[in-house]
Amino acid sequence: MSEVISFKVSRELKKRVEKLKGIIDWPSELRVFVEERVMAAERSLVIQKILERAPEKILPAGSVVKAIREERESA
Amino acid sequence: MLDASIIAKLIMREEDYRRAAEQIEAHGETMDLALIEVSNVILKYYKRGELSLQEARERFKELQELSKTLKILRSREFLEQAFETALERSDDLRLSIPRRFRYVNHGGCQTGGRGEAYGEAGNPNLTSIS
Repeated sequence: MSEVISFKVSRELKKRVEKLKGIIDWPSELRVFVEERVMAAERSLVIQKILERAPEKILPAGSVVKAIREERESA
Repeated sequence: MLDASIIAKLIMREEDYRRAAEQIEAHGETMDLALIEVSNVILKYYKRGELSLQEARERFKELQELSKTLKILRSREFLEQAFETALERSDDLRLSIPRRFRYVNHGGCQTGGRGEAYGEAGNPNLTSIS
């Protein structure tokens, strides 16, 4: 189910947007922009939450690359 | 595209994991296989007794939460090119996909100006941390 989001812009900008209607698919481009922006903001929040959890132990550099490499090569 | 090693670096809290967090925040795109590989790293550390059961579950939960905010590319879409690479190198596909698209510090990585390491295919869209 779809919902409508509206926002205000200046009259001048609205005129310019309307002039480009034949060139730019505004609903499609704005949907993609909003989806990506929401995802990026959610990503920041999730990462912030992860970083707030103090680790009991920090692994030495190269540990995870070694583990992944072993996994790939044993496949 | 983010390599499994960057995501694993953050989830497993490897040295310099805050830098990995910045890379993940900036790029936000990875392959479906990377999530399996990071899950396997968590399992590996649990099996070795280096993570408790609770910690392993928590790290996996973090990975799941993070993956919901990433654009996940299907490895199937890269299969043809990976297959060709596997033919050329007599490799297994599970090796050729990372080699072709998500190269991780097998030697020969070049470090870019912003700390990005580029893959064997020379694709600047690939990001990994050694």
